[in-house]
Amino acid sequence: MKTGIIGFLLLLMLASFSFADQTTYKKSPGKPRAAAVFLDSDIIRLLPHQIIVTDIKIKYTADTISYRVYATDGLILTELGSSTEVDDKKNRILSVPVKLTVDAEGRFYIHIEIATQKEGVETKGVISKVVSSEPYSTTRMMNKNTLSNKIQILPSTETIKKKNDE
Amino acid sequence: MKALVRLTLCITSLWVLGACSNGDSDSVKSSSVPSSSSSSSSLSLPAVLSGVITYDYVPHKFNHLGLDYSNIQSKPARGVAVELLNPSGDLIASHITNDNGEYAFNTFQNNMVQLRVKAQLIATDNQWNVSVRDNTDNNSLYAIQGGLAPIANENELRNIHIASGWNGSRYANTRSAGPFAILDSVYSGIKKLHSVTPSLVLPPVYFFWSEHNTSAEGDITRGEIGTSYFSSGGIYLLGDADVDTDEYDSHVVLHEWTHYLENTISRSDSIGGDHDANQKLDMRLAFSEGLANAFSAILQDDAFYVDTMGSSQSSGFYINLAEKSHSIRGWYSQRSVGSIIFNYYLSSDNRTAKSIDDLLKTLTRQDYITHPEFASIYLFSEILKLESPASFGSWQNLMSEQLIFSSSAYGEGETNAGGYAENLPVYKLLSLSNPEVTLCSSNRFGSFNSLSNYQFVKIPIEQAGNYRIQVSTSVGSNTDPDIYLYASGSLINASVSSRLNQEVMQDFLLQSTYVLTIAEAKVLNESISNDITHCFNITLSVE
Repeated sequence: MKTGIIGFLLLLMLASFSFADQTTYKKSPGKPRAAAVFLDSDIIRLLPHQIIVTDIKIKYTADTISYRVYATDGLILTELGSSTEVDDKKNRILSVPVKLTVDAEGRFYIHIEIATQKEGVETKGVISKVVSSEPYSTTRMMNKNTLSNKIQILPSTETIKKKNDE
Repeated sequence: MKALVRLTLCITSLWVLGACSNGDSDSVKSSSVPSSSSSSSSLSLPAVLSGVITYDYVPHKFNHLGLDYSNIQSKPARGVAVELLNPSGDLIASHITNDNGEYAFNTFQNNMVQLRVKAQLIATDNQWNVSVRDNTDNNSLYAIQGGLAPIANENELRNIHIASGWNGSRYANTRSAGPFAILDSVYSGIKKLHSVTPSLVLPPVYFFWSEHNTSAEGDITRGEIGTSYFSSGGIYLLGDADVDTDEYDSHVVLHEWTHYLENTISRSDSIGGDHDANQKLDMRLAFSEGLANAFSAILQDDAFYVDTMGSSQSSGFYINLAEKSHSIRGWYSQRSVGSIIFNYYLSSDNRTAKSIDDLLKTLTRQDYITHPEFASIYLFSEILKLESPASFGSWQNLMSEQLIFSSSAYGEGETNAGGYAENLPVYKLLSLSNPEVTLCSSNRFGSFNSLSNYQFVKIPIEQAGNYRIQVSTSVGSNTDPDIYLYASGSLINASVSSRLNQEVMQDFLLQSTYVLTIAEAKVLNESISNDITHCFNITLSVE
């Protein structure tokens, strides 16, 4: 009897795992860009005035890669060199160690503009990493499917005259 | 249809003036309601308020690499919603600009009014409704507004220009033209589709664009959208200056809008994810992306898909859709799919050159939308052959040039394995008379959405009943097979447990044809970089 209950619970666990995992089979289709992704998608967290050194690792499948690293205002980034590691025929890892520091609380970005070449064809793209020195509590909740009736007025130039004056 | 709409509008207008008298496509559409403004007294004389709405369009450089700020052009804001407001901000009348960006309202002299132009394409007969909103500001709708002023003349002109914000060296001011540039690309797309199918109804769609939309993934309310992409909630577009902006990359806008078309008036079975135009991809993704690239070129008659980015938007890359010689050719190549569709569009072999008619009809046919096979170059070919048999020869020639050698929905007879023999046949057959197949899942071409990650199995069921599908490992250890069962492209069951070396699915299946996809879970994980190839035996039995 006990074995039966445990078996049932195990089946339930497996069934729920199967269901919960279904969403991972599909992602939103994005625009074509250089096939390069961060190996680690985590946010980089640091405190104001703290100096950290971190290794940004990018996986790519092209024959060659060139890149430019830059940061948003307020984030001081120093590139400490780079290396490319080829762990087999197709998987290549670009490592870019960087030193980071910020003067104040905020949310910053490291942008990496990438150009890859595969069999003579060049593709480009920008991938970016979030660097946060904000307290955890300030993380905002998002609800991307909520529409509002709010209207945001943008500046424009209006010319008024009598039509016959044209 | 247009004439009927125009007539309806003229009848519903309280004042019928010259705006409704013309039957050509350049005439303006007017819809007016009585003004509640105190200034419209019975002694007021009638007046016509008209004008033109224009926006700054930034073209691409001649070499397709970067935006050309030295040639900014003033373009009409076509098909956008113009509203006339009273001093309280209440709506007096609404209007839709024509192809010259013109609008006209019938009103009274001395009325205190102001104009508001919404970043919204709208059809008077509800055939489309496209708006551009700010995901970093509670999804608010962008708009521009004129000043509140009395109508001083019987024929008053109020023109509004929406500037790019570029000061000669950088974006120094608000980039007001961005939302209207996005809309104008979509308007071109709508016009192209309606040129062959005037009755086509398009469900509402929201674009989300902001100057803060950047290429980091995270909190969308902060603009961390990762890249420009389509989702069921809308189309998100990049706008971060000196990083990546897409409001003037009309092909990118129409690429994502084509994904919306696939998902609303047609079908898409794409598994999405990051992709490079030079990769060997899952055939569902390859078809969807190739189609989106081709349609982005077809909808505006411009073969060069251009994506700009970088410092001062001066960098980028392009894809020439008319190009036929690609290093990667086959049913798994978005370049091949894009090239076939675009060059067929150009073809005049037993069809009208540059007509989207048969392509659109194929995408919207019920036998395409409900076919058991996934949307791929194979399914599209089979249905196009039914739709346009006379011109199918030229399509087949284009397929052969791209090393695609089957035009049946299941890819039967395909001989191009893409460099890995286990990829053929494209669909392995599993039935009660052929109850066991062996296949291999590999990350040799990449992870998550690459060729060979998933293998495809066709399961014809001749008698409804309870069936059991069992997967066991034939080559490899510590394997984790996952299986997904589809009917007409819709996922109906999945078994993705973490049990080692096996997976089981039990389901009641109707008399129909199903498709099963099988993958080793580890080859779907983009953070795993070592080579993995695991092979599995799949069996089908009656419960």
